[in-house]
Amino acid sequence: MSAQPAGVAGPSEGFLAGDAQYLHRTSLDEISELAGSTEFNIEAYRRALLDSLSVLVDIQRIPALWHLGLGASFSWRPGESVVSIRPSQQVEETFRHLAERWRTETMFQSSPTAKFMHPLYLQIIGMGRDIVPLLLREVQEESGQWFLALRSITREDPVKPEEAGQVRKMAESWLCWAREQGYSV
Amino acid sequence: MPFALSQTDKQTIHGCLLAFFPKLTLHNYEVTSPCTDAYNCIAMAADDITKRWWPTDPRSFTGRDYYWPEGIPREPSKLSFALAFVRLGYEACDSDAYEPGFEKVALYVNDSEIPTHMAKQLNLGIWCSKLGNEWDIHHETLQVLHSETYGHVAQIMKRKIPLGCKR
Repeated sequence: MSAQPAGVAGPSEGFLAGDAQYLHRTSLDEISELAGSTEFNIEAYRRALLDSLSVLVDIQRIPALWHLGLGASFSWRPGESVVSIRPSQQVEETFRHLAERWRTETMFQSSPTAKFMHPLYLQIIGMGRDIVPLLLREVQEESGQWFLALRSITREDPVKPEEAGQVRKMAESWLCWAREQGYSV
Repeated sequence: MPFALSQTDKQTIHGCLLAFFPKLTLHNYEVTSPCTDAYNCIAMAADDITKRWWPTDPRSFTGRDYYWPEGIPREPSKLSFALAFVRLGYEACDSDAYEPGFEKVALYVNDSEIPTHMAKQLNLGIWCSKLGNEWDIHHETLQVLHSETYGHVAQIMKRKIPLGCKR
C-alpha cells in the first residue's frame, strides 16, 4: 500500500491501528492517491481497493466500532473479532471526574433512587456511547454500579431475570455481551 | 481472617464517615470488612451476602439490578420492608435492647418516611451495618447513624435465633 497516515498500518502488515478520523479516510486517501498518480498502475489500484474494502467489511462486522467517538483510538488485528478501544483523553478525564464525585456523594446510599437518579450519574449517562469501553472496564474490575448506565446508553439488557441483584453474575452477563459486540474485555 | 486496618486508614475512613454520620466517634464504631458492592445493608440484615436487596419494580429504571422476595410489594415503603422480614420470621418489637435468644433488625427512614438503611443486632447487643457500597461497621447504638443520610430508626423487629445457629 502507499504512504499511510500517521499511526496506521496496512492490513497486510498484520496490525491496524488508528483513530476514528482515519477509519474511512484511509481507504479513500489511498485510492485517490493511486488514481491521481502519473504512473497509474491499475493492478495496484485494484489491489488497494480490494484490500481497503475487505478491511472495511471486516470492521463493519464489529459492532463495537460502529459507535467510535470523536478522538477515540482503536487497535485491531485483521481477522480478529474483538477490538481494543480507548476513548479520547478528554472523555476519559471527564468520566473519571464525574464518577469520582458521584461515588463520593452517594457512597453510603442503598436506595437506588438516591444513587442512580443523582444528577452526576445522569450526566455520566449523558456522555453516551463514548464511555461504553470505560464502563465495561469498571464492570471488569468488579464494580456493580454501572449496569444502569450501560443499559441506558446501549439500550441492551443481557442480564437474566434470575440474576437480579447478583452483582458478579450480572457483570459476567455484561462482559459476555461486550465480547459478542467485539469489545476487548 | 480478621479484617484489620492501619491507624492511618482508620483515620482516613473516619474522616470520610464523619462527613455523613456526625455522631460517629473513633470509639463508638469499628470497621469490620473491606468495601464490596456484592451486597447491601438490606441483604446483610437478611443474612444474605450474595446479592443486593431492594424493592425495585422490574419494569423501572433500576429494574433487575436488585433482588426482592417474591410476593412482597415492590415499593420502597416501611410496610414492604416489614413484610419482607416477617417472611424471614421477624415480628415487630418496641425495644432495641439486647434480648438473649433473639436477633433484631432496625429500619431507618428519612424525613419522608422512605426507607434508607437497615442494621442488624449481633450477639451481646452490638449492631452491624453495611454502609452503601462501602464497609461493614459494628456500632454500639442505632443512634450513631442518625443523620441526614439515613434519617432515624422507625422500626425494630425481632425473631428467635434459630436452634443450632451461632450468633
